[in-house]
Parts: sequence; structure tokens; C-alpha cells
Amino acid sequence: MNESLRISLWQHGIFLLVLFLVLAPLSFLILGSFSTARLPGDFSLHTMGLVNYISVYADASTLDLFANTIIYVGGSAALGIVLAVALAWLVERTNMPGKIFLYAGVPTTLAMPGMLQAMAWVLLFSPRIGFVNTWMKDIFGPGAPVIDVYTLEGMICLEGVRLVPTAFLMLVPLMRSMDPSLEEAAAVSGARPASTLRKVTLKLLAPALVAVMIYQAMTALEVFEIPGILGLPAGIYVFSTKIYAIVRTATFMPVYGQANALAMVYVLIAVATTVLYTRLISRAERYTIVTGKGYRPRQFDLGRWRIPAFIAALFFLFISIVLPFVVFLYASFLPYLQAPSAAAFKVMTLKNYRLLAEYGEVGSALRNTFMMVVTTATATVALSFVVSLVVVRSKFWARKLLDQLAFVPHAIPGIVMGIAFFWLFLKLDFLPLYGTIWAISIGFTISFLSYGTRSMNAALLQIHKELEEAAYVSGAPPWRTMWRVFVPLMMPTFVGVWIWVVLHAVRIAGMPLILAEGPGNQVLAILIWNMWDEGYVPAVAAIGTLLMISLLLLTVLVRIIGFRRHAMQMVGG
Amino acid sequence: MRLVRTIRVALGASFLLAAFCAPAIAQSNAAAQIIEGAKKEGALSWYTSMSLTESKPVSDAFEKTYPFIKVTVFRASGEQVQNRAITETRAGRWDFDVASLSELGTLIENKLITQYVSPETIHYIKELQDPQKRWSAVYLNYYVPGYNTRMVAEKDAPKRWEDLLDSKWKGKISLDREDYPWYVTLLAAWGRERTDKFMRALAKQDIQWRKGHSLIAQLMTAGEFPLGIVYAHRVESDKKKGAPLEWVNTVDPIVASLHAAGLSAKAPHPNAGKLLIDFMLTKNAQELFRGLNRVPARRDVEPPSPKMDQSKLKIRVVPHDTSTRYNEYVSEFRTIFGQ
Repeated sequence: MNESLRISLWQHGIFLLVLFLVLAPLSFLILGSFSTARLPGDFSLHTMGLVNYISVYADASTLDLFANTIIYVGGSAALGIVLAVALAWLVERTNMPGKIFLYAGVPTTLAMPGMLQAMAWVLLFSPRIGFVNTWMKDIFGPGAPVIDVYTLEGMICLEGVRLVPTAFLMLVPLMRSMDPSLEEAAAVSGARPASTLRKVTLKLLAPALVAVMIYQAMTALEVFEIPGILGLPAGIYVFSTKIYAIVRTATFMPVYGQANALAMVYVLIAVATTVLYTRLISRAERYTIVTGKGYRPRQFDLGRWRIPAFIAALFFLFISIVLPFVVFLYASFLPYLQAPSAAAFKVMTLKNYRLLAEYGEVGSALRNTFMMVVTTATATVALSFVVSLVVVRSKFWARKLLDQLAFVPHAIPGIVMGIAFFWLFLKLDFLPLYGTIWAISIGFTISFLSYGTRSMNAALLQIHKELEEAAYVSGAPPWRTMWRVFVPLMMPTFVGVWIWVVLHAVRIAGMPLILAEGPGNQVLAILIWNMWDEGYVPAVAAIGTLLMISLLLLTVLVRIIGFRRHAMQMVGG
Repeated sequence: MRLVRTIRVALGASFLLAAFCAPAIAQSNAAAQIIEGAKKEGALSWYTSMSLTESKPVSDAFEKTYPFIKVTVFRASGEQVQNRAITETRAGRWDFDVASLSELGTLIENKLITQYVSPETIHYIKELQDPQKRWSAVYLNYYVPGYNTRMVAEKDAPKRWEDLLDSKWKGKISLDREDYPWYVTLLAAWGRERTDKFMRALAKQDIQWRKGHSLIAQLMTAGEFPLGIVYAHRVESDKKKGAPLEWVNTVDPIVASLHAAGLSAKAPHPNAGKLLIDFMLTKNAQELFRGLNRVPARRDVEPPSPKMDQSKLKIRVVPHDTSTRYNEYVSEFRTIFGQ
């Protein structure tokens, strides 16, 4: 067969696969937003109309909603990015000591279920019962300043901190594989380190940064737990809490149409930002950093700032991980939630851990979770890589559309996505997928595709075409170019995406909840969610504690292996 | 001759006896048939909103009694159970045999539930029996005011719903933002005028909104606010662990939502399904629920605490038409509380 025909077939195959997998939930969302039928099964053309849009957007409180949402999303995304860039730069491009703490510690935050983290912050910073606040009162007297977590600022800080690990994982591989020659040129021509950073390093990273920012803003827009637990008591509504409120209008019957109408804003933002982003990368050659020249990123000498930088990084870890983790650990031994005191330590018990062993069908849940998570992570890496390859590297006619399709799932609220796939697998009953962990796996792979392709796009953009051209010229067939050129260079990104997916798939419950059925596909996340729903906060804390410890071990392990390989390459090169 | 007479008498007596016992025999025949059928079915699918710590011991005990039936439990929030069941059946997939929820109304309305009267029903008071024979009452959930005993002394605690309007509670009461069943039931009990007046005054108390009664109970225990509307069984079980909580049983009415079970209209395992419903209504299972601090619906099973005794409290069950007029109630509630 003709070489170019074969490639074209492959490209069409990938395109059609993504088209189908994304269009199914997307059309569900769009049609649903116009439909007044309460269930997908009742859908018909007679029930179509603009009713949902009118009732949602004509609401007087919508203006407030927009204002709050913009401040919240903008604030937390900005905070998250600044912290992530600083941390990624410190670990990849400087000689700061103790980097392993950050490599292992930062991603671990992802393992914390959002509601638990919000709960931990309530216990720390509530004006009435927050440990930190009462402690400050003890030291400085009743006039001590009170930190109030039930505010827009509180929400921004917590969500900002929660956004850091994802951005960090996206940025680390990019920082690692950056050609230092440009920075060196700047340094040689007498630029000060700060302006080198600003004018060269950050500019080179621009497409990646924009991608990360878009992605993070969407995440902040969608996250429910933080605004739900911190914003609701203060009457601060944002988009996600509003959607949740509409979906949950009911113990009786939810109104998906209105929720869908509101969620259409997500889709619009997603499409608009991807168009913008596509424009930006259309001038991609400018940003290629990894070239055929031997590259070895240079490390910036922090000099006497080494130790202060390390302390600042540790402080971040302390706030974002250690503190909430200590709160979990403490709560997991309690019979019921209470502030720490001598009495509390006296009544501590192992009952919550025993409860898990007794009720959870923990064995099968663990096995299912393991299989589901590994499959999802591997499938996400593979699919994102081929999609990005077509988007960034080919002249395929629909590559821009493909890129947008890959990003859209991030704009579809998890619960809507879950129902869409639920419906799809129910209808496609000739496929034995309904009610299995594979259904969950497919659903997750699609929703994580947006993260995967953002990371892969950014990493691929950095690899100069001359590398694959060199391979091509030397007669290597495409698959070998892929295997010998791309895969090794992309390894850090693959590892990063894989870990990220594992950490997310383990704890997100929205989708498995609706796709799950009985012990056949019981996964850990559902267990956590059910325990939370039933109010067993200490039991959830116990699962959270175990989960975080095991994921910490996993990240450390992957990093150690990754480091060894990287070190070997350096020696070999 | 005497022999003949004896035979006659014996025959007559046994005939009489048989006539007398016929219903009982018929019943045990029916029971035997159900068990025979269930043996052939060998499996059962149960959709429920009952919590994991309750559904698991129930299904374990059931499997122990009927070792030939393998139970599969799908447990999720009431809303998700309804959604799943309705969506599946619309697509022609009838997977569930029994559904048990706090509000079975929607499933009944959508014709997912068929009539079934368990022989155990005779042990239930009339208010907890369905005249149309579709649902069977399992246990009750009381919506009551609860308080943190370290922050509120018993003598200062509210005794009536109206006591919540005292200015000393301003900013100190927590409600679930979806306390609709509570609202609907007070409306049914008090009528429009009194309810409206009460709710509007309550709305001015700077309510601490949270989502979920369990979360409210937890935060109240930790001291985030002294007062809130909670589930009585939850307070009882936390009290046993030493939590500084108490609830008020003098309010009129105590709002009770009913966890009820129904048989699927096209159950793949109808006999096994009937057995599960019967089982949940038995004295043994009801005592199991009591052990988990639930208020058993069955007449001859005592509640977990004498405080919860049905006969001494002014209980009002959430009206059964709630599901049909739900949207109306929700928007009323939201208008009053400015949500």
C-alpha cells in the first residue's frame, strides 16, 4: 500500500474515533439544553425550545453569578499558574536542594478528594472553630486577626493551591527539555537573570503557559466541591454550584435541560479559547526548543538563595499537603468530628479503618480500581499522543477541528458526561460494556483526553521538525521515527500524563457513580463518595489517608525510575 | 358400626379442620411457591438509597437466610437510583427487582412498581400501609431540631418549631438548602397561612446554609453552629459515640420521611424480589435496622431510643403527592429563603 495513503487512513481513523466519542456526549449536552423532557428517554422534537435558556439566563441573580465566577476563576487560575511556574522552574532549572520533595509531594495533592480538602480548610480556618484561628486567639488575645475561609478570597486560595499540581505536571517536562542556548545567549549579551527569565524563558514557554492557563481556568470553572463547601454558607454562588443546584433540584427528578443550558457557557468558552490557542500555535516554529543540536538544560545557580528558595517551596508543601494531611490523619482516628484537645486524643480509635475492611467490599473495589486506573491512564496517554501527533505534526485537513474536539470533553460537566455514556452504553447493548469497569474506563479516557492532548501538544511543539526530517531522510519508516525519536523525547510527558490520570481516576466519583453497578465495577471513588454522602467524614478521612500514602509511594517510585533513565540518557548522550 | 362412626367423626373433624386452616395452608403454599421460584431464579438485584452500612448487613443477613440467592446491590443517592431505574427501563432494560428509597413516588408514577402485599404487612399500622398496595414501609427518618450540648443547655433549647424564631438564634441555625420535604410537610400540617408566616420569619434569621444533613450534624458536633435541622437517628448514633449532640422530640409535627420498598413491574427475579421485601419487613430485619439506630416502621419493634416512640410523638409523614407537585414546592421554598 502507498505510504501516504496509509498515513491518511490512520489519520482518518483517529479523527473518526475521537469524533464519535466526543460527539456522543456533546450532542447529548446540546440537544438536552433545548429539551424540556426530564429524561433522555423522553426526548422528542416537540419538547424542544428555548425555555431552559430563558429560565436560566433571565434570572436576576445571573449577573452576580457571572461576576463571582469571573473573580473566582481568574483569581485561582492566576494564583495556581504563578505558583506552578515558580515551583517547576525551581526543580527543573535551578540548583535548589531537596528537589525530590517537590517531585513527590506536589502531585500527591491530586489524590486528595476535593471535599475532604475543603473540609480540612474549614477545620483550619473557619472563623468559629478553625484550629488556626483559635490558636491565634490564644496567642494574641481576642483582638487577633481572624482568617475567614468562607469568602471569595478563601475559595480562590484553596482552588489556586489545588490547581498547582496539574500545572506543575504539565510544565515540568517542558522546562526539562528546553534548549538553554537562547538563555545562554541572553546571559552572554549581558541580560540580568530576571530579565532573561522574563524575556526568554517565559516567552519560549508561552504556548504551553497559555494551554495550561486555559485548561486550569476550565477546571476552576467546573470544580464543585470548593465553592460548594466554602462559598455556599456565605451565599457566594458560582457557575458550578448553580449547575449542581439545578441538577440536584431534586430528590425527585432533576432538571437536566436547565443545567445543560447553563453548561453551554462552558462549551462556548472552550471553543473560543481553543480557536485562540490554535491561532497561537499556528506560528509554532517559533517555539520549538528541542532541536537536533545536542541539548542539555543548564541549571541556574541560585547562589545564596538556594536555601531560602527551598524553605519557600517547603512552606508551599506544608500549606497544601502537610497541613490538610495532618487534619485527615487526625480525623481518621476520631469517633466523630471535633477540635483537637486532650479529650479528643483520649477517645481516638481504629474503628474507621476497621469499618473499611468490614463494609467496603474493599478487596474487589481495590482490584477493580487498579485495573480501571491502569487501563485509563495507558489509553489516555496513547490516544492523546496520536491525536496530538496529527494535530501538531500533520497536514491533515481537519487537524484544528480534531484539536478542538479533544478539548471539548473538559467543558462537559462530569455528571452530564456520565449520563451521556450511561445512555450510550445502554443503547449499544450489542457491546458488552454496560455496567462494567470498561465503561468507566472509556468515559474517563474521553474526559482526560483534553488534559492529555494539552500536555502532548505543548511537548510536541517543542520538538524541532528537523529531528523527524533527519530520521525520514535516513530512510526510517514512520513507525520507527515515532519509536526512536518521539517516544524517548516525550518520555517525561508520558510519565507526567500517566501519573496525572492515575491520580484523578482514583478519586473522581461523578462518572463512575452513574456508570457503576454493584460489585462488578465497584471502585474506590464510589466508596469514598458513598461514605461522604452518608456523613462518615472520619471514615472518608481514613480512606483519604491510605490513598494519599499509597499514591505518594507510587509517585516516588515512578520518579525514581524516571530519574534513573534520564540520568542514563544524559550519560549516554 | 362403631368403626364407621369413628371414621365419620374423624372425617368430619378433619374436614372442619381443613376448612378452618385453608387460608393458612394456601398461604404457606404460596410461600413455598415463592421460595421454589426464587431457588430457580438464584439471583436478585436491589436498587437502594439505603446507606452502605445498612444495605450491606441487610443483604448479608438475607443471603444467610436464603443461601441460594445471590444479591447485587446498587447503592446511590435517591435521585440517582430513580434516574438509573427510569432511564434503564425506558431503554427496555429491566435489571432491578426491588427498589427501596426514601421517596418511591416517582418510580410509582412512572409505572415501574407493581402491586405486592407482603404477608408481614399485618404488623404495620394503617398509616404505614399503602392503600394501593405498591409500597411497603421499611423505616422512618425524623427531621428534627438538633443542638450541640456544649453550646446550648437543655432548658434553653427550642421546644417548638416557633422557638427557632427567637432573636437569640440569629445566625446560629443551620438548614439544608434542600430541606423541601420538611417544608412540604409543615405546609400540609399547618396550612398555608401559618407556614408562610413561620418560614418568612425564619428566613430573616441569617440561616447557615449547608448541603446534607450529615454534614450539618458533623459541623454542629465540631461547634461550627449550635443549632440545626438534622436526622434524629443520626444524632442518636453520634450520641452513642460520645458526641455532644441532642435532638428535640417535642416539636409538632415531627416530619417523617418513609423509606419504602417496591417490587419492579417487570422484575427478572420476581420471587426473589418478594422474598427480599418480606425479609425487610420481618421482626428480625426490623430489629437489625433498630440496631443501626433507624426507627423501624413495624408496630411490634421498639425504636432504638424511647425518645423516638411513634405513639408518643406527633409524627407527620411526608405527603405522598409531593413528587407530582415537586417543582412548585421547590420554587416556593427558594422564593421564601431567597435562594
